[in-house]
Amino acid sequence: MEKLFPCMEIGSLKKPKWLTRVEKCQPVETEHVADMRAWAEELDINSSQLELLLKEPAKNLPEIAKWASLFAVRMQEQAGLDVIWNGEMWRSEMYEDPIGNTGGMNFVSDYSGTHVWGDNYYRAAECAGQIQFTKPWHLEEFLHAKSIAKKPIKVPITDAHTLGEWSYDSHYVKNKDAGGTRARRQEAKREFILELARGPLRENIKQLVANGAKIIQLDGPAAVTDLREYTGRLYDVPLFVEAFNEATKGIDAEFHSHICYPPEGGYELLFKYAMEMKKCAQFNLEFANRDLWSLGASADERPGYAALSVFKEHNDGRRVGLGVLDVHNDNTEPLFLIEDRLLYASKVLGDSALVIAVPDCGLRTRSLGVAHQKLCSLVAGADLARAVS
Amino acid sequence: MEVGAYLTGIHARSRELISARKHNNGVEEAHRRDAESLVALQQASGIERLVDGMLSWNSPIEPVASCLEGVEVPATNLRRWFNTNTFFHMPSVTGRIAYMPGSIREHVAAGVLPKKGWKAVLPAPYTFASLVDNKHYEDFNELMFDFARAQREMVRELIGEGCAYVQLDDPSLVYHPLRDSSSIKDVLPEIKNAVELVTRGQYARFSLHTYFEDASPILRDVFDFPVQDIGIDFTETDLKAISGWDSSKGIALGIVDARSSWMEEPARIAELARSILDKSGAKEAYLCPTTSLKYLPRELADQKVRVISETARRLGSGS
Repeated sequence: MEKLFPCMEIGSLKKPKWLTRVEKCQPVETEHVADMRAWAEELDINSSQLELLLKEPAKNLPEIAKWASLFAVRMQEQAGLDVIWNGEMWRSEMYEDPIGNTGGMNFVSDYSGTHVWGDNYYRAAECAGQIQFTKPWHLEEFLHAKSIAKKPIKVPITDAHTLGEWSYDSHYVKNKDAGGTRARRQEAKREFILELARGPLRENIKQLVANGAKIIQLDGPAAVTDLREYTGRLYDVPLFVEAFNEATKGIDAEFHSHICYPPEGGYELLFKYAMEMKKCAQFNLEFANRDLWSLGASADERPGYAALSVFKEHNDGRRVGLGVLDVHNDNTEPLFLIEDRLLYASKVLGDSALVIAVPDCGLRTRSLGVAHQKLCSLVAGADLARAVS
Repeated sequence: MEVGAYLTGIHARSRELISARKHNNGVEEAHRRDAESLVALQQASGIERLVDGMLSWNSPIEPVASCLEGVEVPATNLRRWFNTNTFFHMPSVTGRIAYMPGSIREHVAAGVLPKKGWKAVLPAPYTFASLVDNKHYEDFNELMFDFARAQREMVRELIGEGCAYVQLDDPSLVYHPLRDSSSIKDVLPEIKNAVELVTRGQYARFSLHTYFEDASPILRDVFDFPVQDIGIDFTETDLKAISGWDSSKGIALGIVDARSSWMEEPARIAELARSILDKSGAKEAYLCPTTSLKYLPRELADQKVRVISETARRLGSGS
């Protein structure tokens, strides 16, 4: 990208009530319609057709999801982002959709009962048979987004390592008869994750690219979950890298990798291996969550970004999508704070062209209003940083 | 030898409790029902040292931190819980740590437990001190000892409420992938002193549980800790480490994997348990999950409880 500090979203936005109510077969109330109208006015969308659809929601869910995508796209365009997505309005969430459309995987409960944090859960599945590609995960969604977007789009897809890490496995593990239980688990995990990468994930990527996708972000929040060595060598991060390469090799697209919330020291370890991710042009990373809100662009003033110096040590020219918005906090980051974070990263990496402004993660846990404010601040903060660079 | 069984931490919430909490509707009642059903399950399964399931706890850290002066639990600073896909808000230590009297009671569903003889699970001093953002103490040990003093008061109150068993969870003792494993040896004497601050003279039986990683490198040292039982995650720990077990310590066999939906066959794990017990020579033994069962949906977590119960029964009957 030619301009410095271009701005991107990471993926998900909170779904509007007028969509979630329809998804749950609940009535859309007057207040939800009023909220929709307010956003339609704000985003200059003629919503009269949507209002008709909402009168008979039961038969119109796919169309209503398309409208929600339109709102998300226009919201990001209006905020001034340079690369956008549809807020994942078509997806239940980043795990359930791909896993639900993958052969060999069965959900272990009919509700989201596996805990993540606070009152956040997901619906986990177990691998009960050979992994197989069964149907495209996101192709229709992409084609729709492409048809409505006025800016370049980036398709986020959950990577194989994370899909495997968040799943239980009772298939590959039982086919292994290695010595200890840990050895058996590790070998089974490798086989499971590489099958996901080489099979359904790769096939999905190929179909998206064949249909015009230019930028694909593989979401790997589980990349640095386990930092242990096994039989004398680090195990999990190299597996994450191997799975990324297996899924992307030989495919002509720009690939990003999104990683967030590592344990202490996780980024430092990841960066030692990250340059082996051959097709990865950009690492979109969470940092703001661990940073201070006071201003300043020195190392002491930006402790949340300490791992960047390790990235710089290993970097061979890849870009960093710098998380400058904390997605778990309703307060909007001041423009000058965003500016300082971007300028600090530029200083550490030694090249402003390597710094892209992004939120820490998808903004799905914030209200649309908060997300909009934060994204507007992101763009304005990047403008400030650009003006002095 | 008779082999007992117990649960080791936060249990999975039911669909109804998840929904009640999410919609902030009937939360107290849903909590009570979930805890009651878990207690009933333990009783029906012959599980000892009953736990309330800690169903209001989102992690092992935040509720304990909220009972302390000098510690703040922020809405931000979300950190990964070891090598799991669960997270906690890392507390900030901004002043001298002290226990706020009465505060731990809010986090225990004592109403669903028998009046006496139940078990509480708390983070051990070293693990707690390792997982906070220290903005106050110049010295790590000072922080750990002040926490241990505060925890001593906390435990005393729990004992007053009818608690007879206290499990101190110390995964940080074994899971430190970015540290030289020998470096933990240097601090073990201080860690032991901190545990002693909590346990000395208290009218309860204490256990120290490690999980998520092989306990064998520190096992010999932990035998010196002033606790009666030691809990080991046997999906991670090298079985060879068990020979030479200090027979004065009870052994808690974490052999039912709390992080896998794969249901162990009681006959097979009974066999494994027998071989561990033969090697260890321990005089007292308890079957348990490797760690909290919160990593599974409720139905599977409950099924694991039944697997533990059935395994204990087989061990008891010699089948």
